[in-house]
Amino acid sequence: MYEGGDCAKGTFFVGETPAQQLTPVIPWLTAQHQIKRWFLIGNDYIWPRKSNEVAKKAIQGAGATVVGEEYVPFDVDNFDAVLGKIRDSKADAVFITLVGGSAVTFNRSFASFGLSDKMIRFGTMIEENTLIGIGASNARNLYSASSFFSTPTATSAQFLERYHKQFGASAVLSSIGESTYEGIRMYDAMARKANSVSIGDLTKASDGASYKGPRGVVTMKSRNVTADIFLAKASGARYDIVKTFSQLGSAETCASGADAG
Amino acid sequence: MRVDFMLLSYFLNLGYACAALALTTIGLAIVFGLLGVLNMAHGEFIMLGTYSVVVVQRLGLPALLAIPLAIVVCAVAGWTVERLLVRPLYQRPFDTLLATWGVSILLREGVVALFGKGYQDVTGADGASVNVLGTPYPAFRLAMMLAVGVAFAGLAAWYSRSQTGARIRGMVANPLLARAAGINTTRLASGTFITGVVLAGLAGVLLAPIVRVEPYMGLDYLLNSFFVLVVGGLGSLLGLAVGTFVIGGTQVAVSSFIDQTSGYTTVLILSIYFLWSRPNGLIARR
Amino acid sequence: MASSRAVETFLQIATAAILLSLPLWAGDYSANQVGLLLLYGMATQSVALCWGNSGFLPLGQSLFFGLGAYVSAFVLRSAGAAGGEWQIILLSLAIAVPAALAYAIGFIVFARRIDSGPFFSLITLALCMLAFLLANQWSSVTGGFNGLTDIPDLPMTDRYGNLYYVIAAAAVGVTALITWLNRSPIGTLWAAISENEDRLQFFGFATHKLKAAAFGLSGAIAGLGGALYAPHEGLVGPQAVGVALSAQFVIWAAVGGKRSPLGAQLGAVVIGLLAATWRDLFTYWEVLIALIFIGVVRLFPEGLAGAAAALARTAGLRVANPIPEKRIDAHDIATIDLRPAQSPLLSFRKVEVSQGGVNILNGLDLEVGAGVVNCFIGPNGAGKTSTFNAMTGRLPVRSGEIRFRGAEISSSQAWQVARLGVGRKFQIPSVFAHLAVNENLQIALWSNRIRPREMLTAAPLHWNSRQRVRTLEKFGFLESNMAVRAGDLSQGMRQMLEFAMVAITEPRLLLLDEPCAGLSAHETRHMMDAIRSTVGELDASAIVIEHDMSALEKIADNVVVLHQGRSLAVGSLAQIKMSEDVKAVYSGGRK
Repeated sequence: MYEGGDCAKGTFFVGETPAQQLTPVIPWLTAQHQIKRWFLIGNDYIWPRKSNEVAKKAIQGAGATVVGEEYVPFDVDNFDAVLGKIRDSKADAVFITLVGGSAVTFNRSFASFGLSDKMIRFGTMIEENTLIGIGASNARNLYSASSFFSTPTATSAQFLERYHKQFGASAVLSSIGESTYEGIRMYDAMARKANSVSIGDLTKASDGASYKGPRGVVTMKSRNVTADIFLAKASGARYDIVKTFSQLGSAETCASGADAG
Repeated sequence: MRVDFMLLSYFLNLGYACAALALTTIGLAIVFGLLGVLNMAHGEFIMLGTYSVVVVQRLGLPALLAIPLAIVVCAVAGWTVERLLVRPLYQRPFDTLLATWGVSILLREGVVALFGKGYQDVTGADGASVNVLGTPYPAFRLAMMLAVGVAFAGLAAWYSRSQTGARIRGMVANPLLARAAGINTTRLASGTFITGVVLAGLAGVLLAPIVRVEPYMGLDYLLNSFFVLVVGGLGSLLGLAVGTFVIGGTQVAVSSFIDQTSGYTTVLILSIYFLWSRPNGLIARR
Repeated sequence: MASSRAVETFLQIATAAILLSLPLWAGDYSANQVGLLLLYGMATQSVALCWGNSGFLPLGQSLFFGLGAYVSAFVLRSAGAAGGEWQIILLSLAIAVPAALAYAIGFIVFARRIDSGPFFSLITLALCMLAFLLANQWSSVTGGFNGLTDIPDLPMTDRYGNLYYVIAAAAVGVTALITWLNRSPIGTLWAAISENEDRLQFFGFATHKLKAAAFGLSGAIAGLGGALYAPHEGLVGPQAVGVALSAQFVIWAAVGGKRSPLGAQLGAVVIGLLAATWRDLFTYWEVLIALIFIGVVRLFPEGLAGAAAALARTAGLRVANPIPEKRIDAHDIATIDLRPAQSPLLSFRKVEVSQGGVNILNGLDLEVGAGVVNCFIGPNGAGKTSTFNAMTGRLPVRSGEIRFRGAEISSSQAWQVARLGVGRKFQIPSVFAHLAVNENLQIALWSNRIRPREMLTAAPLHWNSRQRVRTLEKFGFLESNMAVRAGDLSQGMRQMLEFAMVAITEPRLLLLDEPCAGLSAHETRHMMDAIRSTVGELDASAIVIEHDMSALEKIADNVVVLHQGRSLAVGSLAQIKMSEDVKAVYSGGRK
């Protein structure tokens, strides 16, 4: 996944954009849990900031308010001050765009302060590795939205079986790793459609290139993909998919016709 | 009413930050402060402690068994490192720095080879909380803070009164004279080093349920410990206490009132200033 | 056996030939890989320059490498329209800015009189971490976490093609530059600093400036690596100033050989190449590297270059300067004009020094005239050596006044006092043990004489002076031991060498602390004669601390008896011998 807004020549994106992960998901969560106040926390770089821009619009559109917005550097280990702010803000939900170690430490501390039962958490980069680090007992009421989870679905069951047969049952596959597979599949689809691998030809043929993979049907449009988005809830050390949002557009507008190669 | 609540939270956060800092620094305070050995693998011994808990939990054994496991693992590793690397290089601080750094890489990559690079989950600090004057606060953290306080008081009393404490002080002040007085400095130094790294391992055991556990976690602890010792002063528990309060307090204060990045930056700048102008710290012992 | 210097030169030429022709026989892809490693190699060489040559270890060198990279990226991206010539000129900023920063940091830190110990290393590490933080946060300038992207090529080059030749030429140039500097007087001075910085200060060298210069140069070299890194990679992110990269530089320098610029360079290239190929094939690659690193630190402190040199039985450590065949006369010492001596040459007035609660000097008063040999005697702990320490900045003076040639020196530093014309010989012979006798004498000859520009020329290596000739005549063994390392001489010879060095500096006042300690009776007489004649030749004064009465009889014009930090009696030796006070003190009577 990425933040969107990049249209460099010869680049095609198969990752989720904030528009896909947030725009329909946040209103659904807001309605489902009657959320009135959201708190936003993320690491301090472009992806969380762009995500929060989209999130704020979605939150306001759903009739809720944003009661806090915090950015922390990567190497922070102690979130006590921020957690104090979150508790004092009386938020009902926290939108998390922390990555890597920050996400693990934050969520563990969050739970240790007894906040898991007071507010729900929703993150877009809490993939399976991070979830393991957070630990089952600290992951109550934790949601994630992504185009792939390592929980078998109709489209992904066989793929996951082959993956585990080759790499072992304990190998963890998350959306980040799986995206590399999607990238190759997309390239294959585009090349077949264009019957060539030159950048100009690929670009011209990209709109409409499509295949059916572990994520389901994926179609390229404006050099981004239209695909299913899954909302999952943490259950133990894995995710259970609770809602599928079919075939969401990316809302990106990269040129892809004859004029763009 | 509101102010009281926030002030109390603030002090609890400060207490936890200082307790965690003191806990993870004491090992280096002994090794660097007393023996003058720049142990760059200090953070990795803490990491070994946390992974002891991981191992014990994976084997389904009671979590308390992690304590003897951590002690054994760190003692063996510490003895080996001291014997093979630290002892021959006592007079060469750069080489000790590099040798222990090599050890840190070795320990890190060894753990990666055995456990993989991913995060490990250590259970034990679930959301059970205790009411502290009206504010809920995680019980595990409170217990940890109390344990650290008691342990330090005990350590201070022991060091100032015991014979071993006197011998260590003698050895540090004048090794030649200490040997002439019949103190087996080689064994004393080895024992001191092992004690330092074992304390680091035990810190890891105590923190495992709270912090994130992965092979590269050690570096942050190493850096913070160095900052505490540089500012507070090497060679005394008072220096350790002062350093802990200054560094921990600065970080919590600036983070609460401005933001976390500024907190970290302030600590860095403070440490650079002390390194430059008062390398013996606030409580100079040597 | 070929001389080590010739072997070193040969190896460098061979390596240069291989590097400069690489794309022709290894292909463009390899050239691209090796190019990046050569850039890292330059930063590694800059670490080795400080560490192996001058004795201090920078742990945050990526600060300068990354700074050069960011400046270069900035220049290339914004000056694109202005044309090639402007870009090249502005690119020199990518070298100048890190160099200036490094010099400033070195100067500020070293002037504070903490030694080049671990604290300097930790400061550089902390500064590097600060830079990393800045690079991440200051997104408007540095591009933040993503860095500066879309960096165009260096003018007239193509990053996948001929940029390699620019890099290779720069790398070869850096190796040659460092080697040339090592063979110049400044190289000897840097080596002396890493050997015994304290002693060098007593020869009038402001060592903090020399170290700052070394650090500044290392910043320039690392900056050059960074400057070429930007167009090579097309992208500069915070990793370029990261601690991980700094750590790599140190590891490569350690394994390659910190005293050898070629070793450091090849360390980076070879390990980098091995890592790239084997990292994925071999799960325990990182563990193996860690073990090799530990092994090198423990067993091969000079790295693989040192091990190779030891195998080839060339001089494993530093290659000493060759002994010149022809000599030229040095110019005179730049004399510092002070008030002419109506006042005594040296005077102490009510000087008090204490340390750790103990009073070492208790209101000491004394005077030393011109052209006189004074001897200080007194029981142990009387304060004799402390007098020397107090007047050469080695003991802080609590109160009182010390004047030398009219100038107040109680708060001056050792090198400042040395520059006024004070030469000191230490109780335990203190010479530069790993340098050759010839080089020790060179340093003495350069003392108070060599000008900064001259440190970069070859001329001072050939200097001679009248005093040097006279001194060599007095101590014949020096001439026949010129190539021997000073540390290999016997104790007695080292005493005499140190005295010879002090004599060659042509001081106005010689401070000689037990010059006959450890000498045989014959050597003692020889030394006393040498002191007498030197003092006469230089028209200088001397203060000699001695216990041997028969030796004193030969040279003492004046004797001062010190007791408990005060002057107890002054006079000729005959007078002192008859003094009741002195007899009481020496035989245990009341003070």
